[in-house]
Amino acid sequence: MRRSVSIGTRWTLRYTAALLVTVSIFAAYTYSQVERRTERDAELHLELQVKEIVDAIRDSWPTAPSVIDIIDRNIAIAESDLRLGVQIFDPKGRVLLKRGSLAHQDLGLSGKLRDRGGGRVSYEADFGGKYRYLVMEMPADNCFVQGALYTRRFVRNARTVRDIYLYSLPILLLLTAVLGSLLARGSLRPIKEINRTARRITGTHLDETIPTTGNRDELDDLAHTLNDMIASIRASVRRMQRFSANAAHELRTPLNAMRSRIDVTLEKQREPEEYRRILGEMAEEVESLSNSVHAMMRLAQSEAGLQPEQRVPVEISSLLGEVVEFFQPLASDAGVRLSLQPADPVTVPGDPSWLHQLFANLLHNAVKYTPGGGRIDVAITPAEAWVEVIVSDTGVGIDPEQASRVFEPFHRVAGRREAPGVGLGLPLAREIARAHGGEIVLESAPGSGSSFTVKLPTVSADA
Amino acid sequence: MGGRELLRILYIEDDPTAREYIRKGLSEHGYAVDVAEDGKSGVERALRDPFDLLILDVMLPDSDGFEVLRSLRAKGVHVPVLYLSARGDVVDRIQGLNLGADDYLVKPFAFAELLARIQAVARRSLSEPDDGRLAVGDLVLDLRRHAVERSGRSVELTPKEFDLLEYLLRNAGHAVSRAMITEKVWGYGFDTYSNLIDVHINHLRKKVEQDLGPKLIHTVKGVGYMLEDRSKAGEGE
Repeated sequence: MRRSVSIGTRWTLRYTAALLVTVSIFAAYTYSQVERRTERDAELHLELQVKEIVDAIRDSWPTAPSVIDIIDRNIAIAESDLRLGVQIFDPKGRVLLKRGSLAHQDLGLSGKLRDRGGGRVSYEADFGGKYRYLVMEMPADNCFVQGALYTRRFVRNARTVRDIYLYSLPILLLLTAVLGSLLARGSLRPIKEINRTARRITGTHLDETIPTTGNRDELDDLAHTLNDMIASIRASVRRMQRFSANAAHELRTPLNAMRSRIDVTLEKQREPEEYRRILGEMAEEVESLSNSVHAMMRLAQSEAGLQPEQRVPVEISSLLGEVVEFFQPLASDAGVRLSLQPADPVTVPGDPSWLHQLFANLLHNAVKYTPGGGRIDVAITPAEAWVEVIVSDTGVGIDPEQASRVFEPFHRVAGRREAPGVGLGLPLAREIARAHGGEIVLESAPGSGSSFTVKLPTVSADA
Repeated sequence: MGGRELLRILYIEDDPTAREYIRKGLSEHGYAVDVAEDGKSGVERALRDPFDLLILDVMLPDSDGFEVLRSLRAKGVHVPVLYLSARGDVVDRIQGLNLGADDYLVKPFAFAELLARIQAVARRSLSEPDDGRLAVGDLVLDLRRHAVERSGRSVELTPKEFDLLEYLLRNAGHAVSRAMITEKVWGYGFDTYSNLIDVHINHLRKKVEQDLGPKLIHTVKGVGYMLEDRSKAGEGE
């Protein structure tokens, strides 16, 4: 069996990739934020230093020593973790004072600043490393103060952030992959369990149920759904087994009788007239067997449901009129009053011939079990999206225990002998109702008659 | 049934037992029967010789009966067709009749039923009576006035009893089966309640026979009924 990549692996790969993308975006954003922040920090820091020097100069220039002291002190403080250099120029660009670790470098004074002739200017330059400069003019004292800050440390801060991401990302991804695959495997375990159980279930072995966890999640729902499905398959397989056993019995009994009949007939020479009579009786037996087979076939057809081409609009009250009329002579011969309550037209999408059969079976049943002097009433009650047809009789009735079983194929009410093939009338009626998306309900009590309610949808279920 | 023209039937059936018995039975009833065992040879036979009726098994080894009918109709052969099917499938039935089959019979069937249907299909082309009156003996059914008379006395019938009598009169002298009556008079394919036809026939008999004249509606054992005036032939029951 070809084995493709498992769901667990695919899930792991997918959310590892998702994490990679998310973390990368987050890292890039954080890094750019930190970098910007760092630059601003450097600038602020430099400005603070330069301002302090400028203030000192303003207060005490040209008494140089105190200014130099302040500069040196600031540089000293800054040097503990930064490199700061300070130069003071005259307007012609000559260096008046040069302090700090940058003093050995000729920082120069940009022509640009000179041209501007005043104010302040901030810029960056590269001398084997990034430097940020701030030059402030002091017109009153006729000089320029230039501060330079080696910003490597600030940049390093940002880099550190970036590096943390870069180094931790693979570890993070690996961890995610490992944990993810464990999680995936864990959450897929119930599916494996379902799969294993489902494999054990076959047409003959339908007693398995899939274990449910009871925590009402999707997988538990799936297990429940599958269990329901298995249960309904189980029920229908049982029904079929029972049906074929009953059908075999139904056919075997008359076949046996015919067989012995034939054997006895063949035992000795007989008169042609006798052969003729026996063959005639055989033909009748075969006829009744054919009827049984026809009835079983019809039941099987209706169980398979309505074919789309069968569905046409059927007007129920006129159809019932015809069926009632069809049974009228039988009912009157039996001394039973059969009546149909007048009703407005109501249309059901279905097969007229099947629906005719449905009501014919109900009426036949009603006439059969209603003694002379009784009555059978057929009433039509339309409801929203449904129509109810009630066939009620004043017949012998049936106790509730038996009532649920009259729709089972070949079921015979205890103590009643029936012709072969009968015992399928009510099951067929119910299957036809179901094939139309409807149902039949029987209410009955011994001695007080029976009432069959047929519920049929007036709108097509699949429309 | 003297004077009837010899009816030529082509029977296409793959089951040899059924083929032989039906052929024999039909021959004994005076039909000229040819047989074919599959769709291909059946179509060839039907194209070569003119037949009055085709009896066609729906399930054939090489093609289904519908295919056979379709290809014959496409080649302009419009012979009446009687389908035989073991399935009794509603869809089969609808499909067959849609394709222009004239009748449909579900296996297993009584031979008499087949005979009755063959006769009915063969009679199908009978024209309408000119005066709108169908009559057998002293029983007259007037289609235009929708009235029935026996020996000049009016007989009151329910609409269905009228339809039933009309059907029997149109097939007077020929046996019609209960299933045929169910299908043609009530218009339903299911034949479960064909025995209920007996009840309807009895009610009809009471109205058109009792005290009004000799028996006209006869029971044909193993088939159904036949409306016939047997009083003159001297063979009344």
